[in-house]
Amino acid sequence: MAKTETAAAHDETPIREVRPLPATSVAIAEARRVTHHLVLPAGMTLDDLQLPEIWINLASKLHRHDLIEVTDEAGSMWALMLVREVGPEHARIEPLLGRELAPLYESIDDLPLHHRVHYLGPKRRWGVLHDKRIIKHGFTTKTDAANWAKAVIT
Amino acid sequence: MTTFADEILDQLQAVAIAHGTLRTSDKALAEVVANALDAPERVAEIRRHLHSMPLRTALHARDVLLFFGFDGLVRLVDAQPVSDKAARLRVAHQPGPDTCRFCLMTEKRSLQPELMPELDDRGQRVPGSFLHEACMPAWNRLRQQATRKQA
Repeated sequence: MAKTETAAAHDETPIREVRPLPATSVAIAEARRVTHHLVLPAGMTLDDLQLPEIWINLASKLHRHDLIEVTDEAGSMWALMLVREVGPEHARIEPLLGRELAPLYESIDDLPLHHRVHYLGPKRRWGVLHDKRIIKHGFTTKTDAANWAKAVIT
Repeated sequence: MTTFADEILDQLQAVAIAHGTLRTSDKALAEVVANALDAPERVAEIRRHLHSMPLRTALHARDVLLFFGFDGLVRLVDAQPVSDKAARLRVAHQPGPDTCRFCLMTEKRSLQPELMPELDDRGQRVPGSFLHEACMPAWNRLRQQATRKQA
């Protein structure tokens, strides 16, 4: 008897039907959406891109679920954004990924006070000078000399 | 690399830094290096080194560019990094269309142009800006240096 009641209760539970995906639901991503490449103009930040009205000149080129790769002219950052909504004069985008990129080359500026890097000829190559006195020479490149000066001299 | 090859590198670096930019025949450049090394009898050997890729690679590691143009002349360019202020000035001032934007060497117009149009980050030509192909990486580095500090 008890077994019959349990079976009846089980039958009342709504069954969620899971059907196989239709063949038309999948397509090549590159055929469905576009990945745009945006070089951020100088003075603008990633946060500025989330203002809907800033896209007024580009809204006609964007579609929902398009991706936008964002870099800046200095190559110091990279970000990926998703277009969530597009209207005739606006677009709403959402950042997905993003990171700052370290500089590929170190600056030769910011040497210690009264120090400078100078080329001393083919024998002594690049050297670090304090006023006119040579502190160390023999560096192959200017960058090596500057890095040594910044690291060693306080 | 042998010791003699290292000495050639030192001399070529010195010549590049002294001149900034130099265009000459490979024989003349080899003679300059040979005389500086007190080895005038080794001009032919130095000349062979000038055409070798290991020497160019080693020079590049010292921020010196060595390349040959379509006219057969060798170009030696000092590509040492400059201060941020100098980088901004160089990016701000554009030379004429017959002059390389990076090394400022003037090239003759010909059917085989030595200078290529500069392309910006969007892949579009920068109006009136031309570069040696070998100078492009150094120019991009300079441009990024100037832009990064301004940002």
